[in-house]
Amino acid sequence: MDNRAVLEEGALIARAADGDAAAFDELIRPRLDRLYVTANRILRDGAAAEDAVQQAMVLAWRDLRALRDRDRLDAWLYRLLVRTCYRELRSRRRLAANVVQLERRDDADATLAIHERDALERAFRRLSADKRAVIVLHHVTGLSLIEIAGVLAVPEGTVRSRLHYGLQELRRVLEPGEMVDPVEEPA
Amino acid sequence: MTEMADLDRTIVAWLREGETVAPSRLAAEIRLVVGAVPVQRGSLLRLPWTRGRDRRPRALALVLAGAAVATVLLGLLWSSGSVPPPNPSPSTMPSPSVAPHATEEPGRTSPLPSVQATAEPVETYPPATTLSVPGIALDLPAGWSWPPSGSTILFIGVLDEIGDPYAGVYNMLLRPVTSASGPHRFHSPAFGATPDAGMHVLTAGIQESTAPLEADRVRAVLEGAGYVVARSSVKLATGGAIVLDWDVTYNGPDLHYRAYFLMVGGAVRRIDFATPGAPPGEALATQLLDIVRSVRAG
Repeated sequence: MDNRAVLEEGALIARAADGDAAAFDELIRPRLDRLYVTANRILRDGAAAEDAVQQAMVLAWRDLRALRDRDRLDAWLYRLLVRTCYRELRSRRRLAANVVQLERRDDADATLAIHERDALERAFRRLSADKRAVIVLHHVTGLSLIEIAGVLAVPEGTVRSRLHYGLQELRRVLEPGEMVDPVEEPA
Repeated sequence: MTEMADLDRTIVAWLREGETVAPSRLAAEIRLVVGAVPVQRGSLLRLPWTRGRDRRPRALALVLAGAAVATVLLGLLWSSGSVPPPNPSPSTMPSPSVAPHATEEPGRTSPLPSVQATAEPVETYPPATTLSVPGIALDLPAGWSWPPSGSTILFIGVLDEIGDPYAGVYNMLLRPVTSASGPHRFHSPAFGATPDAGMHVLTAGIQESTAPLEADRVRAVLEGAGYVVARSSVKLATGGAIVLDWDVTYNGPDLHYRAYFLMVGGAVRRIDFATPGAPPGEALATQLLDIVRSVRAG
C-alpha cells in the first residue's frame, strides 16, 4: 500500500472510529471476501462463517477506537474473526453435530477424490480450533507465520508447531492404507 | 519428501476449494447491524473505579479472581451460622471513602461504611438509598451491606478487566460478608435466604434502545470474550423480559450469571444475578423473578 493509500485509510479509520458508518463500510468492504473465506474454511460452514464475519465486524465497529496501531487493522480484524470462529466452534460442539453430505459420482477417479475430500473433511473437523486457524490463515489467507503470530498473539514457534502438527494429522489420512472407508451405501 | 509435498498440495488444494467471495447480502447485513449499534463505548458500562485502569496479564487476573472468590465464599460460609439479631434503628454513616466516583442523591444518607477505627464492631444497618454512578443507578433497600474487604474490590476489577461487563458484579458487591474485618459488623441474612441483597438496577442509561437489542449487544460482547451465552425470555404479567445466562470459570468456584433485560417507563433496565457453581434452582429462580417483577411494577 502506498503512502497516499495509507493516509486515506487512516482517515477512514478515524472517521469510522468517530461513528461514521459509511466510512466503516468503505473500510471493510474490500476485506469482506477474504474475511469470509477465512471464516468459511475454518468453520467449514457458509452460514456459520457469515455469522462469524458479521459478529466480528460488529465488534470491530464498537471497539475501533481501541485500535491503537492503525497500521495493524488487518491483523486486528483477523484476530476478532478468529476469536469469533473459536467461539462458534465451541458453541457448535455443545449444541450440534456436523453432518457432511457427500455428492455421489459413478466414475472411479471422481469417487476416489470424493473419498479424499471426505477423509480430509473429517480429519480437519477433528483438528483443534487453534490448528484450523493456523492452517487456514497460512494456506488460504496467505499470511506469513510472523503475521499469524501477530494475529493470534502467540509466539511464532507456536504457530509453526500448530501448522506442523495440524498438517501432519491431515497428511495421515491421505497416506496409503490410511484412507477411511467410504460412507456405506444404503442396502 | 516428494510424497509429503504431494500430500500437502492435495491438502492445500482441498482447503482452497469452494467459495472465494462473500455472499452479496453479507455487506448489507453488516451495514444494517452496524447502523443499529452505537459506536460509543458508553453503552457498555464499566465500573467507575476500574475505568482507565491498565490491563494486567490475564493469568494473574484469573489467579487473583480465584483468590477473591474463595475469600468471599469462605466468609459467607463462616458467617452463615452466626446471624446477629436485627437492629431496628439504622445507623448513619459518614461519606464514602471506598468508591470515590459514587454520587448520592440530595438528602440521602451515605450508604458506605466509614473506615475509621472503632473500639468494638458495631452492627450496621445501612438505610435505603440510591447509589448513582455515571450511567447507572442502584436502588439499595434498607439492610444492604458493603463488605469492606479489598479482595472484593479486586474481584470486581478483575471481572472488568477480563471483559465481563459488570455482570453480576453489583450483586457480588452487595452480598453480605460478616466476617470481613473492619469497624462495622455487617448485616447478614438468615441462613438460606436469597443473597440477592435486593439489588435493583434502576436504569442502564441506554437511550433509544429496546430490551432485545440491548440484550443482543451484551451477548455479542460476552460471546466476543469467549463465553457461551444462552438467550431466552420470560413472560411477566405486564410484558416480557429477555434473559441471558452464561458461566464464568475461574481458578476458584465457577460462577453462573443471569441477567434480565426489560423495558420500564421507556428505558431499558437490566438486573444481574450471580450464583456460585450452577444456575439458580427453581426456588431461587422464582425469587429472582419476583425481584424482576417488582422492578417492572415500579
